[in-house]
Amino acid sequence: MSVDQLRIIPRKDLPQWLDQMLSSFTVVAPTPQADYTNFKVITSGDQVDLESVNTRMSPKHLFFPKTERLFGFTTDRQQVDLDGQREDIPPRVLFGLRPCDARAVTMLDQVFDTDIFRDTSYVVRRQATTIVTLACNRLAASCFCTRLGSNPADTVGSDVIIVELPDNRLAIQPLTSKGQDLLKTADLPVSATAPDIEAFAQAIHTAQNADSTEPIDPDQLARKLTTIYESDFWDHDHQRCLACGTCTYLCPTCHCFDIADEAKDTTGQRVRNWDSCMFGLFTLHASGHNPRPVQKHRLRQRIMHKFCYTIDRYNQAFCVGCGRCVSRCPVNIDLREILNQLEDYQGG
Amino acid sequence: MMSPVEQKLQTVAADLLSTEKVDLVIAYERGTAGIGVRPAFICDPANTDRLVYNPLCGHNLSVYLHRHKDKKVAIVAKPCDTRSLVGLIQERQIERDSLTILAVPCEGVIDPTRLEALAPAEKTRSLAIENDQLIIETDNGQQHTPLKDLLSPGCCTCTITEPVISDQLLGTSNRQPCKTDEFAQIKVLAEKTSQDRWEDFCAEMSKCITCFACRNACPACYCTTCFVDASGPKWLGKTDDLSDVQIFHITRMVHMAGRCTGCGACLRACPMGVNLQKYTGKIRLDAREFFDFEAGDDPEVKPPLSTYSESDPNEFFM
Repeated sequence: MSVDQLRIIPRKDLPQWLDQMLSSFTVVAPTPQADYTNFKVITSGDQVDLESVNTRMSPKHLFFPKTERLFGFTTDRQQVDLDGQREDIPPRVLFGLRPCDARAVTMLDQVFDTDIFRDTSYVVRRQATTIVTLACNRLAASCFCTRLGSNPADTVGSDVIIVELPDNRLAIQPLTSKGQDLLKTADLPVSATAPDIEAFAQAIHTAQNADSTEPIDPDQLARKLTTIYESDFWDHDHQRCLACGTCTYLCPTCHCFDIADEAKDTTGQRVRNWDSCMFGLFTLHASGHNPRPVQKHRLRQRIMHKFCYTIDRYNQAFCVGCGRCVSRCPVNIDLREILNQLEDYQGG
Repeated sequence: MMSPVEQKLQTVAADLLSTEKVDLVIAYERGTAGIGVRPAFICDPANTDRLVYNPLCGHNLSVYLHRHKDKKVAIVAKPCDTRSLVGLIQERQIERDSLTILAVPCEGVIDPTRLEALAPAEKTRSLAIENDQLIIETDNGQQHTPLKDLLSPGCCTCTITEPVISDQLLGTSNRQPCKTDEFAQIKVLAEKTSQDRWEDFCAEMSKCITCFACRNACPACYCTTCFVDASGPKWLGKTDDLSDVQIFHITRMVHMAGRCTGCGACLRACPMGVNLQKYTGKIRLDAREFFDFEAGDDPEVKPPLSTYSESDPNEFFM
């Protein structure tokens, strides 16, 4: 990594830097809400709360909103007028993402922005956004990013990475041209000394080696999953699954949606809402037939999608180990445990 | 070390399964995080040694009975959980004869949010429960906290210290019904202006992400097709607009009138900390004040929404 652009600021100066950003950008950052934090548009740099490792909701809603208006329509019963005007997305900085969440955005890119299909709403939001990531200096109890081949200082998906140095200073490193542009607009002097660069490299090294857990082998896992689809591996965890959408809605990579028309009288809108493979309704056919009639099939689908289908299609597991599903599942369905069991499973 | 209740639970469960008196035991086992527990489904008597029972066992297991109507089931039930069972029997959702209720004593269950605030998992080396104390070991040493300081909100005002129905008592408790008015907070809210109540409701609802964890954790929510999932006709919008979210919750709560036992499963399941009990409590209070009815009290009494009497109060009719 090139460090010639490294900036160093005292941690206490962070709010001022954010205030500086606010004069040119919309800034979205973790802010306190109830007893957790969530990404919200801030109006002042001191509103940001970077203490919790992960926000309760992942930042995916900033690119792929829970409900998105695709277009509006009006009809006089003879003809239909469409209003395709989209929400205007001003240039914005997504500040304080954790490396797992930034990496997750690159997975969403592979779904919504491909050579064959570009989802306009997604791409507009993505292009307007500069991602400033804060490397983790501690792991939450539910974190397992290293199992997914990542680490607490992973730079994948980030335009700028911030690393906390031991003496309450922050090292700020632009990684892309978007990141360079941000640092030109919200200017910080290039002030890193040789010892700073050394401290930065050391902090990155420490974060990268914070957890020695063996990463999964995605290809091996995907192959195994195809052979155990009908096995008894799936006979247990589903029993306690409540079939709620907590895991999928909190997940930074789950991206399934449902399209619905919300209309009253002669006007309405077509919207895209988050959906969840945990819901029975997700696969219910108009005929009444449901190809995934019970929870066992639905939980299996979630695992197959994340650790088999996406590996076949995108060459990577669609899980970044953020741990939100692990910590928030009301009945302790723990992906880490399922991965361990999968690796150990000998049946089939 | 195993508690007497756990020992008895394991013995009774193994016996019920090996004598084929039941096909399935629904109980609790250790989870993957700290001292956490989770629902367990045991069919093989050899696996009953996994079963645990302690103040972390908050889940109301009766929600799972809907999936096992074809089986003879033994279920572990705390006193308040037995009220949900009464509701399901009243509403003919379960056959009393195919159910074996293993009643466990309860001193109140621990609120996972309070526990997490006191002992964040990443800073905690070990957690243990000894008598009425939680022992937290961190890098800075040992800390003892009385369990009563960590109880779920509903447990702090609990009056249900005995099971309403049971087949086997796995232990007894000396717990006395709380004297605090469980509806105190609700009465304060009810006294406020409609504007203030509306603001309170909007603030609470704005946390909701409509994941339906509340609905799915609720033993009384068992409609084959929930009104929110119906598409012909479609009853409500499914966007994240606050009004759609509110209509879902209002409709569900109205459906809970005379049925909600206040077990708190909705609150425990919610990933966003939405306090639905504030509003379901009002509905329970109304059922009490209008119909002198407590959901889950007596399997022989018809719930107010299932019957009509000329003496029913009608102040609320327009």
